[in-house]
Amino acid sequence: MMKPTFEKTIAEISRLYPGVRTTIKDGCLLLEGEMEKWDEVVKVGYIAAQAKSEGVINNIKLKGYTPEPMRISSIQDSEYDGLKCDALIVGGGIVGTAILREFSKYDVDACLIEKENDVALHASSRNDGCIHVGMDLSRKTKKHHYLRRAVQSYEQLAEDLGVDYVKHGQTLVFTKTLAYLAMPFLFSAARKKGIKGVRLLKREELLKREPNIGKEAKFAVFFPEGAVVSPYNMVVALAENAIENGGRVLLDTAALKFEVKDHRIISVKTNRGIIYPRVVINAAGVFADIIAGMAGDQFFSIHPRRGVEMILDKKAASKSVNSTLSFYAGNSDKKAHTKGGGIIPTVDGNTVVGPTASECPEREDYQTTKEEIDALFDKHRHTLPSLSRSDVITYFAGIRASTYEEDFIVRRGKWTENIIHAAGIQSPGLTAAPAIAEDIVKIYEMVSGEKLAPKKQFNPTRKSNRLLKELSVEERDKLIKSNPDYGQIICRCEEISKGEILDCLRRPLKVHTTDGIKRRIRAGMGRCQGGFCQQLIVQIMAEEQKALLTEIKKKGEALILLDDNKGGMR
Amino acid sequence: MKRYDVIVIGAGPAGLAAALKADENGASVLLIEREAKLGGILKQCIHDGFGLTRFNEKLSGPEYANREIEKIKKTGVSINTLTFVTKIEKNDDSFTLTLVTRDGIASVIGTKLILATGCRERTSRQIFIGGTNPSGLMTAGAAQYYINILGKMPTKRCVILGSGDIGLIMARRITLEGGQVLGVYEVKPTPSGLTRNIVQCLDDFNIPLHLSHTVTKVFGCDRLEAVEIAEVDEHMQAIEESKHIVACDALIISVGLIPENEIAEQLKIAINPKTKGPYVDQTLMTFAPHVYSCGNSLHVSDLADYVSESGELAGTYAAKSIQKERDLQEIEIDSHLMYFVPSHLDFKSPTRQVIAYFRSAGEYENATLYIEHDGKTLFKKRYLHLRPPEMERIVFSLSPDLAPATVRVYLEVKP
Repeated sequence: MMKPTFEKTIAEISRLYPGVRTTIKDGCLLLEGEMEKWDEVVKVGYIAAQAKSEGVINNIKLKGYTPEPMRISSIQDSEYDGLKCDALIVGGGIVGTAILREFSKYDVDACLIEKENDVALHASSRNDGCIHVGMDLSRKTKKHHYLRRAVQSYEQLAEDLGVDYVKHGQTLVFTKTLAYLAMPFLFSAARKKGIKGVRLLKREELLKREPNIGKEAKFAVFFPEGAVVSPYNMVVALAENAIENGGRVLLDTAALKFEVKDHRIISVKTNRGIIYPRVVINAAGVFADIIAGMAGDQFFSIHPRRGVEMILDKKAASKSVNSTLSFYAGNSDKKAHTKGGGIIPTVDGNTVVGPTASECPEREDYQTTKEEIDALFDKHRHTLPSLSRSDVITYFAGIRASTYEEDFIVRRGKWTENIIHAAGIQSPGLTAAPAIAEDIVKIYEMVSGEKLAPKKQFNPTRKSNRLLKELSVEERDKLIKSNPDYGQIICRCEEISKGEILDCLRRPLKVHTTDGIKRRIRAGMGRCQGGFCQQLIVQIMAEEQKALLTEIKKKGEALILLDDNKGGMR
Repeated sequence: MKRYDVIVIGAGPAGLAAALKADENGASVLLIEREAKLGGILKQCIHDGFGLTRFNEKLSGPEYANREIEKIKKTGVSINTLTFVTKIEKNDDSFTLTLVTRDGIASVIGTKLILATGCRERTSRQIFIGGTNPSGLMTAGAAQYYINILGKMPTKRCVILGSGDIGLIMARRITLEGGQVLGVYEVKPTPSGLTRNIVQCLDDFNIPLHLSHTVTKVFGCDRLEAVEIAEVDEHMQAIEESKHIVACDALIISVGLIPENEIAEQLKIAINPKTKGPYVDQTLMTFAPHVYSCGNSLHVSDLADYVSESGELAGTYAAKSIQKERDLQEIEIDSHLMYFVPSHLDFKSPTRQVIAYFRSAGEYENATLYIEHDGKTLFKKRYLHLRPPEMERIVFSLSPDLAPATVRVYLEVKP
């Protein structure tokens, strides 16, 4: 039987877009055709989502556009050919690594493949690091469910993993006194959502706590649970701790083709050989629908949504904010599908400003544009009037893995029996990932029909790579006396020593690039952006990894130095 | 805890000269350098042209630095290399510095401080270039280190953005090493570097200089693959129709230097927005008593010789000054001047000779510089040609009976 809402939605689509063919596929809505503008393609997807089907599969093509193929490593070998494992996780972002670590608590052979040569190279490193409280999420959503579950234990997790977690709270500022009337509703909603400690800040108190914000601020609501972490450090920590507990991370390894027989995945072909898993976990971020499709299980679509953020110099901290802060922008935010963006003090003392939100067909295009930077300044000028271009040290783009339902997908396969999806994980995925991982393991038990036994020797803690400069003088002095390399500063802006760089190169997950070092311990992340220290890091890396200077990479497969000097024109 | 009359932070040309002069004037001196070797950025400047005023000779950067290093070795100056200043605290009559060294954390006390911390390069992000952030996008100084210190080529075919001196020098250097420089692009309608560098580094090697052009976008995911070039209009806005793509493997950025004053900021020393260095009087003392600033951390000079000179001034005055009170009066400048150093005059100082440096705000011919005090002209000099990239040096004196008042400096420009 056709649901009436399906009928209505299909009729609406055919009325608005006669060129689009809508069919019902086993409870999902399948959209096909060709359109002139990407925005229209996305719009149809949203209309289809109103039918509340099991998923919108938007296969509408953009006219004259061929999507870029997924970028994969140039390595082609048989390193992992014939490898068998219980669970094969596809994707080494926050979700994939959280799942790997969760599996590593049990006696199960879990393996993670990541197409890049490091973890956290896509959305998991390209975000603002916010641990959200979930005020803007409906209680009906999976987003809300997982976020609230994860928030409770996040601080403990960060401590176990030796990752900085700063709970400076979240401040939602209102610019209209009339909004005061809505506060009883907001407080009641917050209570229902399980958000703890919410309180009102009157103007005077608000300005005392946040003296640099725009003068239009009338009052604010403060959410003390709001926090920040370093997102890439969180992912690296999860991966390292998983490896220490027996999990495996295979880098430079991309899933290219699935062999599916009678609705079961038999094998996964990669650029490094064929892997034979019992169950596949799809944590492939913006490529999750493509991976699902390869496995014969695509019942949803990812439509990439770009966001650009800027990072301000630590020196600007005194004229910045003291909590994750945003001005309430009314309902316009919901339409724009961002969390509203804001000004966020990072765990390292910088400030992140952002993000923008725009739909784009590309899944890995991280170019930034002048318009996006200008838009950030326009958007936040009222929030922080002192915001200045001269304080910006860098900016970056990230791509959200949004579905048309705008909610997480955490479930077993629809048609394929031995796949589990953790898909559509956009914000607040960084927050929600540990709770999602717990459920994935439970679903794994259902799918495999096997109750997992906890690993006795599981060690939840990981040796922190907390920076030396944050230690007391006595502790730091003691460390330097035990290893003089800790007393030789290489990165002057962030005050990172040679010893810390060497430690970072010797950790359980191998570091292949200077950018990998930068993400882990901040060498090169300061105001000179590596202008002084990259040269030194290249030498340290070459020496440690017994490589030539001309073999050291900055990111991906890109070398820094191309050749020896010629010795002049002759 | 060891105690010194003068502690110099930074052992580039400014710090070396400051330490030498402070020592010569009888002070006990500690020279602190974070790198393993003395000489600062001169170590990687293997081109010649250094020392024409200081040594009356054309030297390479390392040769120039070595002359100073040889001299300092014969003095009683204590030298700490591989030493990083992590913290500075002000005491009643001195400063305590916390140092990170390979031997551990150490503290030293200095009565006077000389900041000779040099400058850093503006990055591509600070001029908001769009596109990706790949390998091959680097500052000219980084390229210079790779080629001259490591002997490796970071590029085979590049575009240079900015006609600053390091960019010009690197255009020649890359060409000499067999690399191809497709062009130097300058957003301004006039070159930023010294005329001699335009001639010797670009013209002599047939490297095109494109004025009023800039790079608007960088392409390439991992390695840089191309850049988008655009001509700019009189408001420095890219002209859409002029945009075109140039394939290359690197974009080398030479778009200006920023004085490094993080240590000064720790001491809450006021910074002059025009120079990005501290406000100083004629003895190069900052607003913080007993803290001096010199070299490129005071203001970016075009010649190492000037950097050394300001180091000498700071070293001399830091060693000699016993003065307690100051009467600081601002030097006001008109809009034809980009900046004027010193920014202030201390009328209580026994130092009555003023060595000043300035840059014009635009290109002027037949301009006259006036220094006025209380309506009377103290100093006047005519210039046939003034260009912002070429720093000018003047010397004038304040008579001992001059009443404290604002001094006005202006350029009379013939229309």
